[in-house]
Amino acid sequence: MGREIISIQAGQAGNQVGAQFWQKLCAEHGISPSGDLEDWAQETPQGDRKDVFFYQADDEHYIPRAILIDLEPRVINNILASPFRSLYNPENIYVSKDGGGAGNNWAQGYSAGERVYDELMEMLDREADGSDSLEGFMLLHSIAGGTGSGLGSFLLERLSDRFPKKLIQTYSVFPEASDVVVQPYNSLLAMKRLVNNADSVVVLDNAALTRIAADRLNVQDPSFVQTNQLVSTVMAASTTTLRYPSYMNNDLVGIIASLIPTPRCHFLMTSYTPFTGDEIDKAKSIRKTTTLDVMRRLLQPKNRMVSTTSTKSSCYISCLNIISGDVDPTDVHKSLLRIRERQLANFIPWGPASIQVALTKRKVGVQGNRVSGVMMANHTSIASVCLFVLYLEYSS
Amino acid sequence: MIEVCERQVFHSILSSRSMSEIWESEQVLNHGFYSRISSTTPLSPSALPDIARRMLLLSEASSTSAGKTDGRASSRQSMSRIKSEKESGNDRAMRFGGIWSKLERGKTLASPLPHLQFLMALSSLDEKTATTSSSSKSISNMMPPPVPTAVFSSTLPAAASASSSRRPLQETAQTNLPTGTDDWRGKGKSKADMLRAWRTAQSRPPFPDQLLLRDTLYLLQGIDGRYVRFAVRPPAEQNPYLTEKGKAGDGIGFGLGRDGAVPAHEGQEGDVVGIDIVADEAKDGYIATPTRSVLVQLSEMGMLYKRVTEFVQSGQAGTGKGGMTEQSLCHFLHHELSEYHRLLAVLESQLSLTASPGDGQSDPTAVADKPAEGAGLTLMRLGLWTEEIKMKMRMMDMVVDDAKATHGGALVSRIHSHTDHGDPFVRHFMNQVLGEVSKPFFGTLQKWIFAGELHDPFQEFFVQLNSDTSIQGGRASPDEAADIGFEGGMDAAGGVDEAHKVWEKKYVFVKGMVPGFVSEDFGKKIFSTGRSLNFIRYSCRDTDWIETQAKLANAGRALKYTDLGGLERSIDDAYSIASQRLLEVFFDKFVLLDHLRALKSYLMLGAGDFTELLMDALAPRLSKPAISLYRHQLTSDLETAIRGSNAQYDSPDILRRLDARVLEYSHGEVGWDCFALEYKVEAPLNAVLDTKAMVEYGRLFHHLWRLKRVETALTQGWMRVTSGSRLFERLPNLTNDWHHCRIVQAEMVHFLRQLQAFCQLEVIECSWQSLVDFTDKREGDLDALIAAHRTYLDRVVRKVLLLGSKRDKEEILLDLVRDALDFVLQFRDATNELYAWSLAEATRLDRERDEERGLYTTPTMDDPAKSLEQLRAVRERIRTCSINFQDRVVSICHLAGSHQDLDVRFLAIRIAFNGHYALRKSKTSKSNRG
Repeated sequence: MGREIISIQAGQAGNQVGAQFWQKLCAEHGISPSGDLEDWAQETPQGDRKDVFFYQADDEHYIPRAILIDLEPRVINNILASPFRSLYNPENIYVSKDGGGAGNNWAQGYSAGERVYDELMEMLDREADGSDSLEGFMLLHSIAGGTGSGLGSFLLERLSDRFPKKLIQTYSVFPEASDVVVQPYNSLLAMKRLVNNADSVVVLDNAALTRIAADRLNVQDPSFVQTNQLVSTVMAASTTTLRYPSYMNNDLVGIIASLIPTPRCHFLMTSYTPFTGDEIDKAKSIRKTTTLDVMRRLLQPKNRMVSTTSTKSSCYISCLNIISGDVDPTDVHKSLLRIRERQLANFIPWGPASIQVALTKRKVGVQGNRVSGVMMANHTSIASVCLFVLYLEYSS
Repeated sequence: MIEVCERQVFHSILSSRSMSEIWESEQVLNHGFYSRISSTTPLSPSALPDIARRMLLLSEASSTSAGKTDGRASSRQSMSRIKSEKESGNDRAMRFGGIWSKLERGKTLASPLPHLQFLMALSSLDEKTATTSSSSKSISNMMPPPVPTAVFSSTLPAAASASSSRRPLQETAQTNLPTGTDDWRGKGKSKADMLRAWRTAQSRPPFPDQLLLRDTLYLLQGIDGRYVRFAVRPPAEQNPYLTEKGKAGDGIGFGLGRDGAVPAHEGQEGDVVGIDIVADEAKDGYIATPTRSVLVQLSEMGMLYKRVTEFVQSGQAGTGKGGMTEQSLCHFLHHELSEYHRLLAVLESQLSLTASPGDGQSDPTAVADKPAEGAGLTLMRLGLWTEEIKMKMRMMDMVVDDAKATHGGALVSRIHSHTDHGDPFVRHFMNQVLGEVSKPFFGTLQKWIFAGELHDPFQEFFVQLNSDTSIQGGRASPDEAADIGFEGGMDAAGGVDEAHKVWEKKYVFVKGMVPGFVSEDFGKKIFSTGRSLNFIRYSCRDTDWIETQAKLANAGRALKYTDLGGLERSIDDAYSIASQRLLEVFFDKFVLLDHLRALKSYLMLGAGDFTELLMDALAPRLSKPAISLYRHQLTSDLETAIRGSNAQYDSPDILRRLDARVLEYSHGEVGWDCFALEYKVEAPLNAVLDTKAMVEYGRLFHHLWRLKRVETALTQGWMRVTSGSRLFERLPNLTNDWHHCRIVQAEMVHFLRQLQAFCQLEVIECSWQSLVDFTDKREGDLDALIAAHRTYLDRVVRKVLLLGSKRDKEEILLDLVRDALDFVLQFRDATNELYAWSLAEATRLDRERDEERGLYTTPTMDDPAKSLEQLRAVRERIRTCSINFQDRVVSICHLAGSHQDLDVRFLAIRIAFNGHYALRKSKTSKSNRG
């Protein structure tokens, strides 16, 4: 009950990331692939709030509040062939009947949206009605392709129209420079909707993901699964405070309100450290990390999930670190002082800003209690990403 | 000394007189005849006249050596007699001459034995001659006339002729004795003999020793004898010592001041102060001064005996103060006294031995002779034999004195202080006393530390029931010694009775009663042990007690004074078991930690989902005036919040304690101000979570709840401002207003979130961590636990509420924060108005456009001028709110930055992390200057 978030995964990238994301959530909350509660999770109360992302069916199964949309059946069929097939509500899966896909064309995706509007809205309304106090929507998509970008844009417009008082947060995968001719146009068109209709956009960058996989994980030529795992890890980590409520940061509004001072500046970037074998397949394990390590690394550009080009004047507008694991609260204090002393982070001069830190208890479902942290930051250098999108437009 | 001894031996052989006479003569030597009146040796237990003691030692030594020599001497004597019959008188004269010349030449005797033998022979001769008075043939045969007469001429006639006058003898005594101690010739015949003889001649026969002895024995039993009585301190007004007669020193008494003043230590009426000799000396005989002082000294024991017996009797009769320590002391004394009685019995039998073979008491010399042969009793022997018991009696008297002044543990302590005595005899005896006396103490101790029961009917233990009636209430009257526990009031009052008070105040630690062999720390340990057990027993449930008892069973050992090491060990054991057990009971059975956690998550809003739900449910009610608040509504909302959140998984025991309440409110307050969440605890949990602590928790809740409320208001405001600004983007001239709102809003969000993060992370979590660290160790007793919790709570309260150290300015920061929060709320209202105005304006513009579009609409009623007026008012409000808010934040930063608490200082750092406030401050100061 309370603060439910409906996630919508659109397109190939969105569904792939989404599949990983739900796997992770299930593991953390102790929900089996079939939706049953695992024994260990049943025995002791976890202090978690599963109903933010799940609801319970009549037979006590946990069902994700997820809507899976794709215009081509391949990815969704893969999901339905995976052990998690019975997890999802079949009514919430929309696959285009012709199965032709959007063909990497924003317009095709957008217009397909027009066509299937009623079906989609029916799903959304049903989910929204099924929740007591809907907090908002979470859209997973990429802005380069056809479905995620076109249909996603369409959904953004309609959602903000239909649920004006609900938050819309997107996890948008931004493209890297590629040979696909329409990609820049798709991106640009989707960008407009992200700017106008979303409340907060978490920018993820394919280039950065590949780089992180290469640098941090020592995996050359990472597979999609691995990069998607990176994204899903970040997503899971950034929603921990919602799922494990404590004194603060229990609702999405609260988090976003602290990150986004003015509505147009709602493009957030994220960092995560350390990526380990626990989260990502075949990743190298890292030495023991301390809180200070984590907080310092989070501020390093190379750990950002976006390739931004910082200038000297770029700075943080706001910043939230969510740290989980066995953290001694006093360490946080020390780390903050250290960061301030060394001026590891620049902040805007025109208003108060600081690093906010939230501690969460480590999820019991995951082995190991390594200290890990995710940072969600509103940084001025995100402008370079937007510029890049424009540049793609002009250069192509 | 050897010489002296030798002389003594010599002397004794020579005269074969009774010990007392030797001693008497020595006394004569020391005192002289003239000191007869002033022989008032004080009977104070501490000061035994030194001389007397030495004399006793001497006589002891001499008696033993005399005994030894006696045997040999007698055999030699017989031998020499046989010899003397065989040998001619000439020979013997020759030998005597030789010996004599040797003696004359050398001061010391190289080989005393032959000389002694000889002189012995002489003395036996001499006695016969002396008593028969007609010199027999044997004398003239044995002794060559010239030399022996020269030796004995000075003494013999004097002793023999009873008719010689007193004056010359006295003169000789006075002249010879003090100066001529080295003149052994003067002792050919003992001075005592001479004295006696002289006295007899004076028709002042010595008082029969036998009678004196009998009386002395009476005295020793504390009974007045026929001739010798105890002098009793008369009532003050008749105090003879205050009269002229008394000052003149008539009669034998004790320590009178030099000028005849009454001694400083004023005794009670009827105290024995000395002895009176009531014998009619003229009729029965003369009692020599030395004898008198012996009597005085002996009578000391009688007096001691009397006092001790009195004490014992009063103890047994129950007229004393009572107390088990005293009783056991009585027992011990009784035991010792029976020992004493046995000794007296032996002495008495000795006396009868002395009396029966004696051929008539009319002949004093006969009586005096007997003891010399090893049997019977003399005053001297009496003194000697009772020497040891006298010491004991003195110590007993001392203890009795202590017992009169003190009580219980203090008495034990006093006695213990005597055990540090250099004299092993005293030490040993005192240890014995202590071993006995401390038995009831140890009995109580054992009950206390192994059963947690205070069995102390006479309030002798160093732990005592608190007599404060407010705590005891009607449960146990303080006079009632029996320990009835707490159960009485607790069930009836239903938890009103605070376990904390019970724990804290039921028993008190009486420092003065801690026995000397128990250090204070150790005493505290004992105190805590029993307290823990008592608490387990009466405040927790029976089952706990049974388990505890089972655990303690292994540790229970007999406690004795003699085994102090064992005592320490078993107390340590008991202490650790008891406190461990109590902690166990608290943690495992009463799940204290769960309660603390519940307090943290509900009253300190740690459970975010619960708080959120509660706030959502309550918000509409709480914004109404307080008067419209009903408790049942609140509780039902609370119920909803519990059902909907993770709280439902908490144990029902915890949930049933949660309660929503309306605090007392004054006129004009809204629900927010007087809503309170409560957590009810009852005994024994409220030993830790006492009322005071709950008040503090209440304060915390109030503050955190307010923060939360403002946070909710702010996020709602944010939604309005962000979504609104998107809606009203097209409205002209408002962009700046909205932008300003957003910036201020962001500032407020930042401030609030930093404040919250500070409370949660820096304060609550850190303090909790240290509390958990403590409880994980499970060390110490309940006191330590209470202290740890108190520290935890204090720390949280001080830091969350940002309390300062100065008493009058304690809440200065808190007030600022409250101000700032109020402005946030006002700001929120202002932005709402702005929103409303924008909405109206948008509609107005829409209508205007409708006309342009050719649609029919109702004409606008609003006066544009008026709405502009409104806008100006709204703008003004927003402006003042933001300025006021910023002012407050700046001063909060400033004050917190110079706060003495480092954590609070860190709050300032947090708020001004990027130096924004510092910047602003310098700017404003610049602008002020400019």
